[in-house]
Amino acid sequence: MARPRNQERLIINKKFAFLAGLFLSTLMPTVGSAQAPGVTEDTIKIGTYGPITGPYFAFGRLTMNGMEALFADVNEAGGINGRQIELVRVDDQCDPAGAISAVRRLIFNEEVFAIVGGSCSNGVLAAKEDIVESGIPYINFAAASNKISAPKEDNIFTSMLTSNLESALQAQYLADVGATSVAVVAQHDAWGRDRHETLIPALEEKGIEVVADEELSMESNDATAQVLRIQSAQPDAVVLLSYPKPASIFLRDSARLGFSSTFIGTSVIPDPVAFYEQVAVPGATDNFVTISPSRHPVDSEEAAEWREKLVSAFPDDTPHSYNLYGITAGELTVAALEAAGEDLTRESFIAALDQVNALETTFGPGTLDCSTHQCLQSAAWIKRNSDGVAEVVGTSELD
Amino acid sequence: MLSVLLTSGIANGLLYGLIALGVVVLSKAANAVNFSQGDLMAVGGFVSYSVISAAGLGPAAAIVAVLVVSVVAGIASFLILRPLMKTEHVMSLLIATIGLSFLVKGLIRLIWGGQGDYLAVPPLVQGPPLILFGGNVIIPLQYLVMMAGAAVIILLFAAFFRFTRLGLFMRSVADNPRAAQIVGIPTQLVLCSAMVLSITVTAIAGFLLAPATLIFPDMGFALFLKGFAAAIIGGINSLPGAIVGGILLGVCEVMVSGYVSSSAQELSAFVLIFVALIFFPRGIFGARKTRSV
Repeated sequence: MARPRNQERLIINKKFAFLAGLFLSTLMPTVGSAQAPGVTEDTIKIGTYGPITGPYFAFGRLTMNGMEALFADVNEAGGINGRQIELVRVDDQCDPAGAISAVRRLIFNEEVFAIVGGSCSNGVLAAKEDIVESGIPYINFAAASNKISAPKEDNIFTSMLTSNLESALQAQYLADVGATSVAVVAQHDAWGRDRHETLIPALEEKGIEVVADEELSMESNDATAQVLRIQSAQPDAVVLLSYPKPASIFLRDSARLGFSSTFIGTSVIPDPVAFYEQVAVPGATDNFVTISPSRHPVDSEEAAEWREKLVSAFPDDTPHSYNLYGITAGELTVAALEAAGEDLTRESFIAALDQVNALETTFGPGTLDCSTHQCLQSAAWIKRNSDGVAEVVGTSELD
Repeated sequence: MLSVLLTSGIANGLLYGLIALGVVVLSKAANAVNFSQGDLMAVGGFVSYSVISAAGLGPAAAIVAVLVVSVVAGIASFLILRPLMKTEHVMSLLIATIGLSFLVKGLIRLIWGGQGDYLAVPPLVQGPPLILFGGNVIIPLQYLVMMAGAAVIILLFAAFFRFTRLGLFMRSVADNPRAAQIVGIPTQLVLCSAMVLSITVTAIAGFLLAPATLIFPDMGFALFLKGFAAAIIGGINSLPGAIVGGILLGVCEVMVSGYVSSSAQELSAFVLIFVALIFFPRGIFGARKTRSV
């Protein structure tokens, strides 16, 4: 049956009105946030991602907790140019595929202004292409691979100590304490190789001889052979380029075989007191010193105020060194947002980050300088003292 | 260096041997391989942790707890897997044990999870290494304890098979299951006992290993593979072969690591299996199948 002409016109008018409405509704948010995606008159939406659940949750959730506690402080004090910071968390479970989808969700679904996150190097590297292509400002807060921020990309910055800088600082510390020969124990996976490849030349540059270079895999249950080979080489110090488990096994077997030296850890063992409890052999960690991107241990007096804030905001999570890395990343973000001014755009924020120079933070061992985009170029050295308390025994900055 | 490496290799090898014993017992009695065995070894380590580190009790209490838990786990495993313990369900049984492996790992995470990436059990003995023959032989005390513990278990195992009625039943079923059934041997009891024994000996390996290393939920599979490799090297149906295979594997790993390169440690185990199987296709103690007419 033919439709009456009037009715047809009415349908066309309705279709036109619907399409016009759809068009106008897509324009509305753009009109409302004239500066940039994720920015309104009274909010700035910052995205973060990393492991929130799963076995590696500490790297992500706890770092995010630290950053969120800092943002809460800033918001309470009136925000940044009248805008409150909103934090959007996405879980990647430390999985590269999860990191890619987390970054895409933050950019396209959540439409955040910037991303401050990334805890596992493999995940950040997997998502790097999307980050670079989108041009979104990105501050890596906990992943350590040098390849994340080198070669330098316009929109990628890092507030975490990168693997190459960590190696250089380890070599510098060893030179400072007068070591002339060292042994290296490394796990030869991507994480370990990343560090091994930069540590050996850094040691050579400082005139320190590598007298033993041993492998200890994550699966190893015994380090007798490695300890004996290193013991016979008689190094001044041993650098443990490994996760806590192989490092613990090495120290347990060293104690068992009566081998003693100065043992140097990496930033994945940030808390020597917790590490002592995990090694569980009295005396085994007496000469263990670890490198940290934080100048105060989490249980120090200087961190007391933040511990209280963290416990109050996140009662289910025990304060941890990773909280402090989040605070440093948060302080860098806030400083750049303030410097970018009221007319906030992604370009002005990136330009402000580029200008960061000699920025004092609460926990950074030295000031932050983002000229290379690897903003943290200093480290603290922490050991467990005879009272069982973590103590900073020095700081190192690159020459 | 040689004496320490040898002691370490033998101590670790004996533990691989205990896991291999578990593999062989189940293989002989039920013609089955239990992929959850490594995870049940991890359970042995975690139970030790709870008793020694958390409850503050001694190693004797820990071993009793490990025995109780492993017997319960063995009976439960048998009841779960019993419908599949038939010749026609070999593949299904294999898959079911892989499923059981995930279940056990999940239970470990549920009970002991959230306390850190890994847990440490303090050494059973502490002190300087034992120095013999004017310093020519040095034996760390922990290895001595591991070796002594493993040796006691092996002797008990041998006595069980030689002198107990159940042990004789198990040998009969292993030799000829059909004939054993005809003469009235309760084969279901024997299969259940084999499962319990296999899991118990593996859990005790976990108890002995825990103070020497660190424990975490996923530790079992890699160690199970070592035990399985030891069983293959020794001959999958040979109980003494399991121990010899384990010792060979442990010593080979540590010697290659000590005298060649620590990078070759993981590889050496596989090279050993490869070489052993070229020269002994049925394993070193593997019996050639004969048929009389």
